Amino acid sequence: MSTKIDETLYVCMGSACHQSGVYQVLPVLQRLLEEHGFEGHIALKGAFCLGPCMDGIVIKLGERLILQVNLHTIERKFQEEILPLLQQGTQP
Amino acid sequence: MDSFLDIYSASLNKTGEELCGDKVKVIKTPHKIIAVLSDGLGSGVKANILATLTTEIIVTMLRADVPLDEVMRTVIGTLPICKVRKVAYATFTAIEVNQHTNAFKVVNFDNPPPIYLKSGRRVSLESAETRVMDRLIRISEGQLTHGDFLGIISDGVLHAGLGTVWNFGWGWENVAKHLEGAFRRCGHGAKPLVQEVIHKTRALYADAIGDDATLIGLYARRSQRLMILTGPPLDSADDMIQVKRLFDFEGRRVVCGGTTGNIVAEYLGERIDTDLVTLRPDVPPIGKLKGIDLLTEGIITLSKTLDHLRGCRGEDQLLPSDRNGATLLARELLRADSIFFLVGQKINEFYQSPLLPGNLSLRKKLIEEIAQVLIEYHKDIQIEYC
Ligand code: FES
Repeated sequence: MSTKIDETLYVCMGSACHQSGVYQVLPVLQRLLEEHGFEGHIALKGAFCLGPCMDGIVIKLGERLILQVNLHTIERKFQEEILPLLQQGTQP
Repeated sequence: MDSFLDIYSASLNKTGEELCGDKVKVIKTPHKIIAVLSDGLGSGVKANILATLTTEIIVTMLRADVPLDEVMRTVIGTLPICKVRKVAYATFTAIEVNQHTNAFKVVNFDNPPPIYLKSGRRVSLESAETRVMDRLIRISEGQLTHGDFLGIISDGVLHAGLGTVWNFGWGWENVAKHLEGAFRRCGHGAKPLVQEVIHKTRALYADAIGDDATLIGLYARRSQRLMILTGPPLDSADDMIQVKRLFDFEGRRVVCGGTTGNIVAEYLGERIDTDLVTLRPDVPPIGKLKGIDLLTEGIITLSKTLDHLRGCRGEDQLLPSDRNGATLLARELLRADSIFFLVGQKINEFYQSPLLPGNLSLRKKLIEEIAQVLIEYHKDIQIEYC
């Protein structure tokens, strides 16, 4: 599917987002990326406060921010927002 | 001040005693450092109470700048005299060091003479004798320069090995020689030297420590300085000015706070790389930036660091071995002698959120509490708000 390796997904680990459960969300995100074959194509990195603390957890992909990610919403957010962006971005 | 006086003390209790009959108290004021060792006659509770009384009187009076001879008269007048042995119920040594000039004065009442090393070599310390209420007091004066070690011992150290390894105990000469050796072997600093002597004392006593034994060490060295920038400045027009101060600082540099870190990254024109391996359920990960020795998240890490600082009682070996933002920060703080906190006061609205416990809501309060603990551990602390 994807061939590029230059996409980076930043997960905010600032004070607010950390308190919203980044520690638990991170492995789920990792699993989802693997399941969709992005392993090795997408770099997953931590970031400090990305700005909209009230709407954490914040994930950043390119210039796009994905908001209100948490253990309950992560699957849906991934399907509806992250996946389309990734597929778009990584299409040759 | 670029000079720092590293102070460490350790005691052994006489076998079977819960309380130590030797009492140590060290305080720092902006102008002077006072260290007192008192050895109560005998051991256990009574000795402990007498020694505590003695150190408290001396420290309190010296802190209040009462002239030395008046302090001596008060203490000696207060101390009860043992009817049988005709000696006072407690002996003491008090050191006063001027924080600005490092000039020191040692006042000794019936304790073993202080041991003075310059760059690891023993030098003799002249003492003048005077009498206070018919009791002999020895006073020595000098000035500490980098590399000097001044040690004060109670006689329990000298008696170690009495009748077993040594006919008359380890003895002053041997202790001083041992310190010279320790200086070469265990590196410099009050703690390694004091610990080395106390370990040896314990070993010489074998299984029965015959007397309370104490060593206070003062080691003068160049100050290890640390600056912490935490929190974005109130006025964002000041951001770059404050960051520049951080980079101009000579010493170790720490940044605590995500937003603060982002400001520093912007100054450098760099991106922060976080180290995901250090992410913990209760501590956000650390980040990396050129020229910064440690970059952590702010409030949560600081709060956790405060817990660690309290828990380890000032000993960095007692910190949890786990490598995360809070343990690393606690270690940086404990290893520094003088710490300059530059605290930005811009409030992040999120901290009013119910997700963060109440005590997390104020950076300022956290920093003040951390500073308080560090002062108790004898660090020189300076705080500036911006
Ligand atoms: S802490 Fe994640 S956006 Fe501020």
